[in-house]
Amino acid sequence: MTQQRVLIWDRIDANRRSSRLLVLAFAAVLLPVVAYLAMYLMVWVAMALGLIAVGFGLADAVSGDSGFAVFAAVDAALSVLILLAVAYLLFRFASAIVLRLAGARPVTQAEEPDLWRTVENLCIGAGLRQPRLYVVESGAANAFATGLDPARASLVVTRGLMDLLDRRELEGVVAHELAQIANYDTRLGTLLAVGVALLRLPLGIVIAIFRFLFRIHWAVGWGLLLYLGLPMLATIPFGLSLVDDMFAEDTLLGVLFVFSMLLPFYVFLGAPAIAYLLRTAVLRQHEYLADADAALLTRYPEGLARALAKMGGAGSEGLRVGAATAHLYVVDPLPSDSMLWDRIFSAQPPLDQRIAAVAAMGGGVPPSVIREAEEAGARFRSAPPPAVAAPAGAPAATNGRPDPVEATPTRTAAAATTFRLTGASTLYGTPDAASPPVGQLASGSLITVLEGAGDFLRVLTSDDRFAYLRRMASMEAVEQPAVAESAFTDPEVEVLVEPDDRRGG
Amino acid sequence: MVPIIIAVVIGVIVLIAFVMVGIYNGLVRSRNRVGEAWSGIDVQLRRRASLIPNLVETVKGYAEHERETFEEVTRARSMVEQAGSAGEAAGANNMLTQALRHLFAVAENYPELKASTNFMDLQKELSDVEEKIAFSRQFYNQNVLDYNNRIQTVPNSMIARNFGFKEAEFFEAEEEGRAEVKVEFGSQD
Repeated sequence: MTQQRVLIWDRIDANRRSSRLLVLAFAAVLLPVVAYLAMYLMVWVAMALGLIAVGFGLADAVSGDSGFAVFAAVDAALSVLILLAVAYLLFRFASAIVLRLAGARPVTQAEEPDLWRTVENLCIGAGLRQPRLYVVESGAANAFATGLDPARASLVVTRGLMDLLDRRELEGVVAHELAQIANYDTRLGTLLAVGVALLRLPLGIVIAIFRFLFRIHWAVGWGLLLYLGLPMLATIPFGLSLVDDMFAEDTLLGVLFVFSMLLPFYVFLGAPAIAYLLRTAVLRQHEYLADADAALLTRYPEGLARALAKMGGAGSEGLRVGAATAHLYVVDPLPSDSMLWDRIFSAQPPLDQRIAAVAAMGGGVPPSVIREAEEAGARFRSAPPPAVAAPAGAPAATNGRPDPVEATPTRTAAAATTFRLTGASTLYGTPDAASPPVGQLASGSLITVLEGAGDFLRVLTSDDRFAYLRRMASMEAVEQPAVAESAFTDPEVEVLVEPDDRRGG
Repeated sequence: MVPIIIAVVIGVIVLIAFVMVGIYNGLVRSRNRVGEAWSGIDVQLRRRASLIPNLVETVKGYAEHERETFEEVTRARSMVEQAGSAGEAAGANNMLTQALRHLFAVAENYPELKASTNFMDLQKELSDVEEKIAFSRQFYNQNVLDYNNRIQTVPNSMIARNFGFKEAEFFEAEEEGRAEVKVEFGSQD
């Protein structure tokens, strides 16, 4: 544990260092873009004012030697000013921008008591100040954290996440986010998000315009593309033919000419590519490390493993997420049909590797559990509860599912697997009699049997703990629907107890 | 030659002094962190204790002749409130847990009590506090481990001994409700 702590401090330092370097790197990448825009701005301002004389004067000045120097100096000064302003705004409004982009809404304790309690408790365990809580009203299951330091962090979960996960699983996801807040991953991630968004802006605007035109009619889109694109392509050979003459006349002028020809390409393609590469380079192991921290904090890696599997199965369709903020989320939120360009540069490690790493911590998680969680996620995707559903855990969420054939057998199965112990029995954390017991159940306690595991039964206790019980423990079946309701605080648990034969069919 | 030796000696002494000040400050910081973590547990223990009178009154309303159980709970509660050290508090808290378990076992025999919303609310709140105690215990013990490791290892131990840094007590729960987790990394690049 001590080593773990040292590791965390190291990571905090590393993240702070990376954040500073990142801002510098973004500034360097941004400078030509800003210079380009500032140049345009100057010409536009002159034209907009209608001061033709000034416009001519500018043209005169550019052709003259000293005039050129003045022009360059003004452009440089303007660029640096804009850059400083952008950097300030970036720091000041980074998390607000990210929250706005995601469409997150702040929630209070009264609105989401379960989520609030989960976050509150885990914060106590991590010794963190409680972050502000936000909810995205979307059926997709995902979460992220943002903010420049732990004191001003925000934690965002989707409605779908709360509907999909049970309490232990939600705990795992929240712990992952808290770990990222605590070791300053969120600072790095937030700066990256805003930086990438900024550098991707010119490309994004052009793409958005053409998308819009193509939606009107394909001919309009192609028409404008050819109208703008062909002359551009045509000028390239012409420009190249000029380059030789330019260099022959004046080397500096030639360099400047080539530079100004390449600048648009850099602004629209080069800068966003560099931004994506920076992101991939910076965020390599961070998700794995945060997963490990989450397992340490909750002391229950299986929760996070199941949560990741469920989220992988459910996908993130319908989530409003830009390519720039994708790396902040717990699991990759970009749909598989998003632009190739954005998928190549995904900063998320493969989900199955993460699940395997988490499942290997602690006692190990049986593959069947992971598979079931994935299937539960896939079912959730095909039949999600209504977009603005009742609070997570309400039985209404199950009843509200459109497919009654799916819902009814699970409920009867749930009632039939509830037992009352007729003698005291020991609870184990793993299906192994040699493992340390995790608790004692008194005679008369209610349990729900989830599945068999060798000589043991995997059970859910009435106080919401998952544990293993010896198969020989004496118990009697209880046929009370009311018991099923009190034992199951989440519809997804019922999905877990679905009988095996249903999976085959 | 002599002035150089004197300068080197003074330099070394100053260096050692700096290192010692650094170590001392680190130990103080670590000890304060333990204290801070302890206050986190203390708040939750008090919250739990403050729920007890209400709970006892509620149960009494339905099951008045379970006097022994009530006394046991009340006794355990006052022990929690009077506990001085972490070890004492942990012991008292475990006693309270036991007593509450008896109380809830008794409650099982009174269906009306079990159905009363007041009782259910209290039960829910108690389980919330117990979870918070478990989490704050985890955080506290982590800090204690860090602090104890520091003051027991060389060279910190020499300074710790001279300046009266005492080992902090762990807050031990009677049963490990939350299993330990081993974190390992295979190769997944």
